[in-house]
Amino acid sequence: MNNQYKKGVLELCVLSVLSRRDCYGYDAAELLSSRMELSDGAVYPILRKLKADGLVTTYLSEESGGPPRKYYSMTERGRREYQSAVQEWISFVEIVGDLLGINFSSNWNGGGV
Amino acid sequence: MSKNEFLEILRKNLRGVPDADEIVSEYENHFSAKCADGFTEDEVSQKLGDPENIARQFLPEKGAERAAASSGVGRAVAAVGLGGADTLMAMLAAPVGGGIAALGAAALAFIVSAFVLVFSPRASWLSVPYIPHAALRLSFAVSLLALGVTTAVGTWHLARAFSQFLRAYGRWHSNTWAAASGRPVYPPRAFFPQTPPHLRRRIRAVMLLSAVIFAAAALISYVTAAAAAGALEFWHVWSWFV
Repeated sequence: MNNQYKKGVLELCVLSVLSRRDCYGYDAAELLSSRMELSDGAVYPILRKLKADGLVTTYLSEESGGPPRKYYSMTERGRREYQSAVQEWISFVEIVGDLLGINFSSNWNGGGV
Repeated sequence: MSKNEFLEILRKNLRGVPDADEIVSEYENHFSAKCADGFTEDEVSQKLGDPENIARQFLPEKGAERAAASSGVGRAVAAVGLGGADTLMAMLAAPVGGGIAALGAAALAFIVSAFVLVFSPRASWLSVPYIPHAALRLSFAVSLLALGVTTAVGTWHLARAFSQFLRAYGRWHSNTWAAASGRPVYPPRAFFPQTPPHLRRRIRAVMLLSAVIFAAAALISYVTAAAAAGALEFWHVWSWFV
């Protein structure tokens, strides 16, 4: 998949993972890279940006027989932003689908007669 | 690429990024976890991607960077400019403010004198000039009161304009500084008071009326006083200034 495409929606994907449960970085990277073609390293900058924007927070959690892990957890604000981003995404996809002629129920006729 | 190589390149390219250590340690943890799952360091770094590229994603965006760089120079220029403007403003504001205060004091003095003239013409605590007739004192008092009202309304109007001007300047000052620091700017304030038309008409009417009353009462007082004293310079007859 085109890299430019992914870059924009990756934030939304990371948020969707965190909306289900708290994750540590490695965990989130695994989850995402198992579903889409993505280098593991790209998830950390996004997590950090989301934290800087106040959409997620972090906390340390002791694991049995290992160093404490840094967990990422969605904030209230993150949840709200995620909800509205999902709505935006849905309408965006609908419009693009329309333009590409995927959604045949629309009035768009591809510029033809 | 080995774990150490990867982390070294990452660290080198994160120079200047706040919490670079924290970022590096996060990738270090990633290596530990992955290696514990049975991957080799080489495989893990392969999957992570190019460390230089990763480091770039932690750097502030280009636009933000430029804004930060320009704000340093912009702020220095703004500080010098605002300092000069403030000095000029203070030099202007001090005498104008003082003038308005003096005008207000004069208005108060006129009004107080008018009342003293009528209600205690022989007040020992105020050097009220001697006027022999009650009716004449009243006429003088009316002219003084009218003058006081004209001055007071004028002072109030000037003070309003002046304070509006100062507030507009203050807004301009903080906006200029905010713009230089890259912070949001508030809408500018008007430099002149926005007087609604009905209020403006009323102010004009009061000023005009009190000015006319003052002129008329002053003229009548003078003529009457001159006639009563039998001299054009009646104040000498009543020895006002001795």
